Amino acid sequence: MNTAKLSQIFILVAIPLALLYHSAALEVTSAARVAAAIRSLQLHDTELNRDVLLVRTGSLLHYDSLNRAMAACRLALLEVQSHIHHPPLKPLISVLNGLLREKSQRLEDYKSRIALLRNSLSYFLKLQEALANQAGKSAIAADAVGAAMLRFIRHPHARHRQALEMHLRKLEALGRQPAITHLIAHSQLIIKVLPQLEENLNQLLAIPVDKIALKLENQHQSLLAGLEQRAGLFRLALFLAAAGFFIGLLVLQTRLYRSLQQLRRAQRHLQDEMQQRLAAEREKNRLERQVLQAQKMEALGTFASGIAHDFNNLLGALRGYGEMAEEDLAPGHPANQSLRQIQSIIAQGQTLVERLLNFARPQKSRHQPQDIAAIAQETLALLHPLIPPGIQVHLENRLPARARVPGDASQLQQMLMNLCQNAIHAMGKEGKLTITLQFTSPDTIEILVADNGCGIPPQHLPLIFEPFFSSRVKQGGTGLGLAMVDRIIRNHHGHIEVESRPGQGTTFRILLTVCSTAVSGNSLQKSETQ
Amino acid sequence: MPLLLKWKIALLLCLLLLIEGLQAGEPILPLPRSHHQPAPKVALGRRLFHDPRLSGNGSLSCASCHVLERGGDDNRPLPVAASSPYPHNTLTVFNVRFNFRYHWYGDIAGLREQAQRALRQDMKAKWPQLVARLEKDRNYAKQFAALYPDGIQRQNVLDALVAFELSLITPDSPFDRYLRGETEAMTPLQRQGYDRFKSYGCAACHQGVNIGGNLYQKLGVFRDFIDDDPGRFAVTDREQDRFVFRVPSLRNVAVTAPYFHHGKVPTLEKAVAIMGEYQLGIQLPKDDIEAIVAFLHALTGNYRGRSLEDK
Repeated sequence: MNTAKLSQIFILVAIPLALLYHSAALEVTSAARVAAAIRSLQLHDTELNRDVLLVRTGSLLHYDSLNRAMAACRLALLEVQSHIHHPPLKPLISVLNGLLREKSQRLEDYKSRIALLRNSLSYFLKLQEALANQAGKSAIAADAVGAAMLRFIRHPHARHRQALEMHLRKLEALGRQPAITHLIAHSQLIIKVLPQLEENLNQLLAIPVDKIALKLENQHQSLLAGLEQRAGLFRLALFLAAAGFFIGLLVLQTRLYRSLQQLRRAQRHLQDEMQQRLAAEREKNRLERQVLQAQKMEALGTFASGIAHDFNNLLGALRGYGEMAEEDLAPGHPANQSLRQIQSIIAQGQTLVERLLNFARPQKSRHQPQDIAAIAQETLALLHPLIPPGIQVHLENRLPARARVPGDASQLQQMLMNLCQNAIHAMGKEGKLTITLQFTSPDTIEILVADNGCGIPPQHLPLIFEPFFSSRVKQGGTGLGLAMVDRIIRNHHGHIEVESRPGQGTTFRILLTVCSTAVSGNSLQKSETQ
Repeated sequence: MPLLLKWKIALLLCLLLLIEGLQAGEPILPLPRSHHQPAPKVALGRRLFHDPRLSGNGSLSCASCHVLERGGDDNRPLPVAASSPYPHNTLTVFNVRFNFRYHWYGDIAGLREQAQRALRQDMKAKWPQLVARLEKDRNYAKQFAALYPDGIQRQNVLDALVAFELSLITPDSPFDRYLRGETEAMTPLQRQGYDRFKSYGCAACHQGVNIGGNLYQKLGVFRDFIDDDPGRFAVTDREQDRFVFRVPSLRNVAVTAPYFHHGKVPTLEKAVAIMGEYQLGIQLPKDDIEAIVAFLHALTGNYRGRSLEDK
């Protein structure tokens, strides 16, 4: 699997690289140099042939240019050799190398022979001139020899050689003068050397350096053309491969994009589902807590009502016997005082029992539209005697007159009463109690009960609505006040929040749903008719 | 048609002029006045040329045999360090760049090979030792580093030596000045000598820029040259190369005595007489020898602004 992937990648990389390598442009400079070198070889070979002929005719009196041309040819061939690496051209180059070596050898021989010839010819002319300037027969014979020599030099045929030899014999017959012997000796040398020189010259010019060079040039060019054509094909293949890769890339890109979209959708879906599940979990927990609380309350209620009932009976009996004892006693008896005290304590105990029974009794109230502002005013009026003089009480009513809350008036009043009593206890002798009534949203009324008392310690906050939890056990607190409040609010489908800063005060915030207009409208009509 | 005719006439005239121009040419050309070699390379080559550390035992430099203060040779019949089976008279190092082959046999094709062979055979140099010696010299290291990226190397030492040898030219001899149009640069005797030089056919072999040095020729055409040296036969094994030598250059010939490959001829007069005897088969007249020798004295040029004759 893995090796298969690797080999796939290798092939994908190797194919373009191979195409790129094969389609690369040829070594342009090298090809140009070879072409220039071959041209130079041809040119200098031609120059050499020309100069060889010029030397033969006597138009060129030195051999420097011959050597230069030959050196240039060799240099050009070296250049060709160092730049051509194509095997098909190697045999031609080695042939050319051999030809140049042969030509160089023949050129050396040619130079030596022509120098020898010219040396003798110079001296021959000098002697011939000297002889021709003498008087007598020798002068005529020398002239004839000179003319014959000129013809022979120009056209070294057998006919001219025979004529020259004949004239030489004539001259020889004239005497044994040293000038004549030298003239004859040099003429013999010329006669001997000139045919060799001619043969040498023909061989030199026949060496087909130019033809082979031309062949090399043609082959080199056709080779280059072939290579170029092949490179062109590879370039085309490379282009096609590139196009293929590009298209493949586009397809892959599209697929990738689609997968990405799907993934995103799935992610969103998952998130939604997770949130739903979390919400469901939270709801379940809340319901479970409520059920637990309800069960607890019910158990507590049953228990409390049982005890309260028995206790009430006991108190009733105690009261009866107390009254009987009072009747039995003579008026003005000192025990009367104590009995009256006992009676009042029994009354208190009965009130407590009554409250317990109230708490435990399932409250099946009939909800009717209630004017919460009126209830609040009433509550404050009831509370008035209990309020210490140092405490200021404010009622801030921001509700419109028609605002109604569905509920039980007595329960609502008790709720407010409990809250206010707590606040007064928290403030002690002086402080400020504010009750605020206002809308928070068109269908929700907010009741704020705020004091600037001692506040609730943070560790107590989760417990304050539990029954029998009280921070004033010693002062006679029963721990039922706020539990009652919580219960009443739940009865009214409301909501309560506490905000407290120790030392600064506490604010209870109660949210109740307002009556729908129909209900409030009905109630309004009712109140009007009453 | 008349247009074509005109063209033909013009062409013919051109050809005529060309041929005339060529025919009017001299067999000998003057030396160029400058060598076109980079000065730092020439300076380095000059130091190497005079440095005995190049030889195996540290006693010989190139300049031991090629004394530039004289004629570029050692003025001895045979060199101090003669090693080959047929030792030859030292040739001058001046104007070597105009020779087509080197040594008397002409068996060396280039200056580089010549330098290499001279170092190996005559100076007994060993390359690793030589390079190590040069590397010890800070000045050399600096000079080489300035000229060659790879510093002191065998090929760079040879390159500097060759560059120096290419710079060794002796232009502006009286004869060159004469060829450039200064007729009075040569005395009448010298001019007469040049005339004799050409008319006796000497200029058939001694021609070109270097007055020789560009072809091979047999020594002893009309009389066998009695010597045990077989000439180029020793290197080519061709019967026709027996007693054939590379024709030596005649530039500065007056200051490069003694003469011939064996160095046995002490004076120019004798040398000219021997050439007449062996190459032309005659006894040259005394006057002509005198004139030719006078002409040969006009071939002495200047090196670095001073005539070689003064030194």
